[in-house]
Order: sequence, then structure tokens, then C-alpha cells
Amino acid sequence: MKRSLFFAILLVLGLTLPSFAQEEWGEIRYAVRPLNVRADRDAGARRITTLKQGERVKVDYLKDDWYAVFRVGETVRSEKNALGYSFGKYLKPVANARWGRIMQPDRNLNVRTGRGPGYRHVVTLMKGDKIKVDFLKDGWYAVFKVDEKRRDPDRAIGYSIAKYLVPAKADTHSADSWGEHRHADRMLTVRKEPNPRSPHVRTLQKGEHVKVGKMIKGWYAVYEPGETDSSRIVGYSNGKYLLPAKSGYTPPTRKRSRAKPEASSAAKKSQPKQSADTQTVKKSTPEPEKSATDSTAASGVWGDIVSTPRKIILREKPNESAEESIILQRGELVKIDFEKNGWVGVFPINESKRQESRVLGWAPRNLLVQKSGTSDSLEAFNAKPTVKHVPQKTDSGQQQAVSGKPKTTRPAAKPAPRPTPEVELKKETAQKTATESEKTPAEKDRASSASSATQARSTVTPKPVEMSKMAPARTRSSSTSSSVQITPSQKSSGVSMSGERKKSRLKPEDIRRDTRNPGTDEVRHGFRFKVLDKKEIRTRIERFYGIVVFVDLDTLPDSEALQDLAATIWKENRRNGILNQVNLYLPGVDRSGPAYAVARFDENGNVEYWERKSVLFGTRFY
Amino acid sequence: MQIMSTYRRLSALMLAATLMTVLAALPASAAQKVGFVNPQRVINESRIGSVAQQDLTRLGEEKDKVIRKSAEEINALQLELENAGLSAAERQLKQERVRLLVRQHDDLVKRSNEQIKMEEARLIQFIMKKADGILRDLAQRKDYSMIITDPNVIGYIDNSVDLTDDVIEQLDKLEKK
Repeated sequence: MKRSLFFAILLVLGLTLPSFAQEEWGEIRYAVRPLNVRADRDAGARRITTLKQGERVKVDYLKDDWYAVFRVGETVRSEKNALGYSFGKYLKPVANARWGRIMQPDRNLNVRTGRGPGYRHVVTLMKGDKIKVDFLKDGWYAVFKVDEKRRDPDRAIGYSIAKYLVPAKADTHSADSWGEHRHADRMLTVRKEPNPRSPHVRTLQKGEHVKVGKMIKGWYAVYEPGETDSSRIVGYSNGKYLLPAKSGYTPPTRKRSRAKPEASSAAKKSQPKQSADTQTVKKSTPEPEKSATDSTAASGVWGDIVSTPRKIILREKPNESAEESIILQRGELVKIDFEKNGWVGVFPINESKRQESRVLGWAPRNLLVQKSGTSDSLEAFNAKPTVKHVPQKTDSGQQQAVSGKPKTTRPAAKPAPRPTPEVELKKETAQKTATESEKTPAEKDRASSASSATQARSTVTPKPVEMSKMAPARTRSSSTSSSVQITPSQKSSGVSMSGERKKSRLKPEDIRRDTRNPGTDEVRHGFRFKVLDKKEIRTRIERFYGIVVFVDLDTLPDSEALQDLAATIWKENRRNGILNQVNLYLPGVDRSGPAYAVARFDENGNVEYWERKSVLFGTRFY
Repeated sequence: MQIMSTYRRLSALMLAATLMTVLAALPASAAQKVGFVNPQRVINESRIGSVAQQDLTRLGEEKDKVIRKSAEEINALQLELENAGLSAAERQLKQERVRLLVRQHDDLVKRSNEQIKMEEARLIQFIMKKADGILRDLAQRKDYSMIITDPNVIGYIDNSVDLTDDVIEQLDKLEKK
């Protein structure tokens, strides 16, 4: 009896004693300069010691930009064991510091928003997909992209159960190691992106077999049957209509690393069905061995680099009646491809993806390519593609380069000041009293607290705005507020009396059209986004630190969710000591214009948040 | 104000004179068709204009919230000042604080008004940029060589060349895209 009791106690203790299996924690960082370690997360707290520049420590428990600092060899993750606290800004990750493990699922595996099967699904990893994992806890890993450099749990894509993850194999490109074959149970559209509004790529016939990869929101990534390269996605199709391969189906074996001959010629002839939106095609040397994340077009070996011989207006489509998009100045280096009826698509010079949807605009080929005498800038440029010379044709197309009045030049980094439209707020509105009352003598007495309290209650809520007088913003003649706009006839050389021409100072990163999807590289709170720009901005009345963000969405989210996202982005990208403003742009919203949502933060947090529904006109959200 | 209105009148006259000169200079052989668009009506009557006004209202409410918060802080301090139990030093400190907050509050109100004006200008510019493309299309389709957008320079306009309704209709169609 006593012995059985003894063993029972041992068993219970064994179950309740903490496991000695060490879960990975902390991160090795180094001090970029002599750095104090303090007793608390406060610059005024008692200094305990000072780290030398370059000294390495282990850090964890990040809070309010302060880390808890540990010895590098510390194994027990407890804040009590910390040496102290240091300001995180001066602790940088060790270069090439290894963290995490590269693993792959041994079956199709869900990634969820939390460590449990009840959490929302984020994405499905296919068997063999490489991922980086870390922060093992309760049998679940935090999952990161393979190339993720920052060891930060907030940057995780999600969480997956550890037992189905195995160390990654060297080669995951054999046809058997990823994906599966399925067939369409009806005529099925393949689209460029996993949503029903995305452009059509091709149509699968009923019964046609394809290979499918990742599933995103119920849509499969679709590949050619037998495809071995997981980066060569044809498009996306609704998973509901893709059933497992029929019995007896044998996928074809495909040779790796070769472009299809018909795809190469199609690229030159621009056949719409085999547009390079779906196929990655190379014109020149055979493709090298590729990694999981490489793609043909990523090597940049496509298109021709040209220097514009004169100022050229690009159009949205390859025809003269299309709308103008942007203006290229003389001597600018661009990449051209996708010839159609004598027109070519124009790309930024460093564009890596050969996709027609990524053009800046279209121009007649003969305007872009000179007969001879390439500019010095071309020779100095170290791009791999060569420049082709095409005899220049004489046509009326040359006139269009100078004729007419361009619709809009690309906004310069510092746009020329526009004339302020003659707009007045309605005089009857309450907010006028706030400013007009300053002029009254009684209210000038600021020492009187009673009157100031009364004054404080005045508001600036505008009633329905009477935009009483205004002129179109871009029209101006001499110093008057004229609004005459002359639109020249089609054959004239174009006379413009009004407006200002903005000089377009094109930089490669600025050439992109402002409504194009710039892609996303981060995920927070379930939102995919990309921080496009961060800089200090001065207006007539204030100075703030602006953070421009593109958020990729299919449907309009709640204001609270966006506000939450803005707050997270602010915390990660803010600059202290100045008002911060986060501008959120949605797909289709012109990024040269007002953002959809604006959130302002001072040192303590969110001060203001508002949205502009009017900028959604013409997008899929309105 | 008088100077401004005189200046505007002079400017309008100069503009009218320039217009006449240009019209005379244009080739006589080309039939000159002149149209007119009233920007005020575009803003007031189009759907995008009314949504922009709602956006502005929302911004005003947001600014209002901040100003009210600032006012409440001042009021709370004043209530404390009325407390008889304060020492002279404390009272002086609080009064200084009130004076500072009041100054900040005034700046805040002024800045908020300016920001609303700037936002209004921004939204108008955004709408007119959209209308610009529509205007250009209309002009090319209907062979207009000039489109006037300032009602001040117009003495009389026939409805047949008033393109405002067309512009509004096209702007409203953007919503349905």
C-alpha cells in the first residue's frame, strides 16, 4: 500500500514537474554603441552596468521599446534573471545571426492565427513547402517566411503544429514532393490572383488535369501538370471545382529549367492567351537552377533597355485614343517589352517581373528606340539586357509626343504649390466663431480662466460644407484665378493657357503608376500590407512624420480594425518627438492623392483617425 | 476685402480681353466650339461631391473630439483652482498650467481650422482631377476647342453648351464601376 502510494505520488509529481525540455527563447543582439543597462524600462532608472559597443547579449521581453537583457548563455527564461533593461533601438540583431529552423510539413498543413486548432485558418502549406519556424510553445511553432531576418513573433505568418513539421530536405522540387494533381469538374476559369474579380488567364476544360499547390482563401495555385517548379504559377482557381485526379491518371514528366519554345515566341508576338502574366519566360540564356523562391523574371533578363530620345507621353493602352498615363522626360532609362501593333509596354528600368499588368504605360516603339547613337547613359548603365536599334519610322506619332496637354504629369517629390481654390467654409457654421472670436477684446484676455473655458467649448464641426467658390485646382493664368481651359483640337500642336506643368523627376522607384498594386511584405492582424515610404513632412501649419502604407484587401474592413492596424504600424515604424501620421491606401486608390484612412499619433498614442470614402470612387470598394 | 474684389474684377476683365485675343488669333477656318462647366454644381450635385462633404464632416467631428478633450482638461484644472485648500505656490503653479493649456488650446483650434480647410482643398482637388479626365474626353468627343469653368467670366451661356450635367453624370458613373 505504502509502495503503491509512493509510486502514485511519484507519477503525479512526474506529470506536474516542469519539463526540462528547453523551449527556444530570446535573441542575440549587440550594442551599436556604449549602452546603459538600467534597473527599469526608463531612461531615468538606476544604471546597473554599461554594455560596450559591439558587446553581445541575449534579449527578450520587449515592451515599450525596452528589452530585458540577459547573459548570452542564460538558459532560463525568466525576467527575474535579467541583468536589467536597455533601450531596444541601440540593440541590433547580430549579422547573419541564425535563428529558427528551416522545416517543411510532411503533409498539407494549416497555418493558424494562434496555437490551437480552434484558431482561424491563415494559409495551407503544401507538403514540402519550406518555412522557417521558431518560438516553440505548447507543441506549436510560430511560422515565418524562409527569408525572414527579424526574429520577432509579431512577424510570424501564423502558427502550425510541430509534430507534422520535419527538417527541410535539400531538394523539394521533385514532382512528388509538393502539390497534387486535380481535375476540373466543369469549365473553370484560371485567374491571375485568388479572387473572382482578378483578370482571366485561361479556361480549364471539364476533366482537364492540372497540378495544384497552396490554397489561399479557398483558391488553389494552379500549375501545369507535372510542374516541378513551385514558383511557376499559371494562376488561381476556385478549389471547390478542382477534384482529386481521376484514377489511372499519370502526370507527365517535365524537364526542369527550360522555357517553352512556344511561350518564347508568344512573348514576342504578345498572344493574349499566353501572356506573360501567367508564364515566366526568358528570351536569352537558359535558366539556371532555381531556388524555391526564385522566378524566371526575377533574374531581370528580359525586355530592352532604352533611353527616351525625347519627352514621351505614355498611354494606358496601346492605342492613340487611350488615356494618357505619365510623361517620360528626355534621356530617361526604361525597359520596354510586349510589342503590340507597333506599340510597346514601358516598365521601370529595374522591374524584375515581366508582367503586362506592371507597365507604366504604352508608347509607339519608334518613339522610344532610336536608329543609332545611343546615349551615354546607356553605355554607363550596367544592365544585362542589350539595347536594340530599330530604324525610326516617320509618322504622325511623333506629334503626339508634344501635342496636346498632358493629363497629369507624375507628381514630383515636391509638387509645385497649387493655387488655393477659392473655397470658403460656410460662414454660418460654428467653427468660424472659434477663429473670429479671437478678435474680440474680451476673449483676448487669456488670463481670465472663465472666459477661456467658454471659448474652449467652441468647436470646429463643419456643417454641410458650402464649397462656395472654387476654381479647378490645376488651372491658372498669370496671377489671376482664372479657370479657362483650352483643349486643343486633335490636329493642332496644342495651346495651353492654363495649368502648371510639373516636371517629372523620375526615379526608378517612383516610376510606378500610383494605382498599381505594389505588393505586400508583412502581415499584422490578418492584414497584408507594405510600408511604402516614411519621411518627415512640413506643411504650412505643422510638421509630422508621415508613414505611407499600402494595404491589400478584397473587402472594406471595419474602421476599428484599420485603426488597430495603423496603431501597430505606428509602433513599429514611429519616430519619437514628433507627431506621426499613418496614411493607409487601399487597392485601386491613387497613391498620389489622398489616402483612404489617416491615423495620427502623438507620444502617447492615437490622437485622431478619419477615413475618406470619396477616394474609393472608381475602385472595387465603392 | 474691397481691394480683393477690385482685384478680382480687374483680373476677370483682363482674362476676358485675353480670351478675345486668343479667339481672334485662332485659325478662322476651324469652327470654334466653346463649352462651359460649372465646377460649383459639379461639387454640389455629384455623388462624389456629397461623399466628400461627408468625409469633411467626419474630419470635423474628429477634430471636435480633440478640442473637447483639451477643453475638459482646462475645465478640470480650473475646478481644482477653485479649491480653497491650495497653498499659494500650488495655486500659482496651477494658474501657470492653465495659462499654458489655454494657449495650447487656442493653437489647437487654429490648427484644426486650418487642417479642415486644407482637407477641403485636397478633396476638391481630388474631385476636379477626376472631372478633368472626363472634361477632356467630352471635349474631344464633341469637338470643343475651349471649355470655360469660371462662371464669373460668363455673361450668357446657352444650355446646349453647358456640359455640367454631362460631367456630373460621368462622375456618378464612377461609383458604379
